[in-house]
Amino acid sequence: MQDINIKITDRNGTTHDVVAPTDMAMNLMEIVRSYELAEEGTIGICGGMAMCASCQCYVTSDHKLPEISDDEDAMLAEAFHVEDNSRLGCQIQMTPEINGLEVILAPES
Amino acid sequence: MIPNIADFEDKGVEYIIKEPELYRDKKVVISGGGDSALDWAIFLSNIASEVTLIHRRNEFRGALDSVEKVQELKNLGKIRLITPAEVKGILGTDKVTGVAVEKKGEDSFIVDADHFIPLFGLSPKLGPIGNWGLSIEKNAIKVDTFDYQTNIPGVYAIGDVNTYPGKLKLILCGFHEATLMCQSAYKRIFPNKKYVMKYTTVGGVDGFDGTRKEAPKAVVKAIE
Repeated sequence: MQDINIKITDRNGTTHDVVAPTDMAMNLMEIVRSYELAEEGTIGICGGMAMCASCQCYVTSDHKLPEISDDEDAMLAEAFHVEDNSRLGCQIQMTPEINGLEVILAPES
Repeated sequence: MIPNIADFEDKGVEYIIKEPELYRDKKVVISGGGDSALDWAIFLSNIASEVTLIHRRNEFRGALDSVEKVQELKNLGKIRLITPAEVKGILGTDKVTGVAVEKKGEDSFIVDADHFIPLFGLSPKLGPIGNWGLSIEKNAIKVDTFDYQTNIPGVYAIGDVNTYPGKLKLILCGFHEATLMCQSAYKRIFPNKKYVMKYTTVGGVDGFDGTRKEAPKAVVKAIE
């Protein structure tokens, strides 16, 4: 299985080019946590079940992501700083199709 | 944001329900779309004189049982549901008398209320704890893993709120930290008493409600 490249701009405006595996069932929130791109306690607070919106990010590349689920939609409806290109990082799975994905982490909730 | 909500804290606005009897025969307005809002709306529908549930979406997100129960209570007229709507303000002088509600795209109207309980969910933030003189790292309280004491003697921190090398935010870890913390605190509180560890699987445990629980006894029986 191939590794993919993701560009993540952290909350200080620094863009990180990271490598992510596609065979470990990881999601974008877990990638951010494993590379420590956000302070402990400010991301993935609910563990990854679309219950907190601390992993919210803005998708700036053209990749077509899987449709938003009801859970993700409900969470984004209650979050702050939501934009049209907002998604929850914990719902974006690392797959070969999103190689080259570019995201910006939303401000802390 | 509800501008004057802080003025009504303890005067009809509650963020947590400690004593349900407070709401007996009262008019209660609950805001929120998750399990807490659903659970309390169901519970209080048997105690309060009126329960109004307000959410900014038509969709609620919670345990299936709870969502269905609220639907049923709404159909029976025991819960008044106002969606999609938001509470925009609180009315009253020295206590809550009503809330101003705005339905999407319409003028606001008043719902009579004795209590307003916003249940919008929790988000873990240190808040004032960050300014108590404790060592903070990674938005958590640093502790010594010998007994989970902080930098202030006699102050302990256990569970997700603490941090130490290798810390994992698991319920299991919180429970383990509690046991070590307790025996350290015991020695501090009773410096002249001998600490004796006992197993509840051996001696049973007495609940705060007076009940007693014991592990099932093994049988001593001949097998013919």
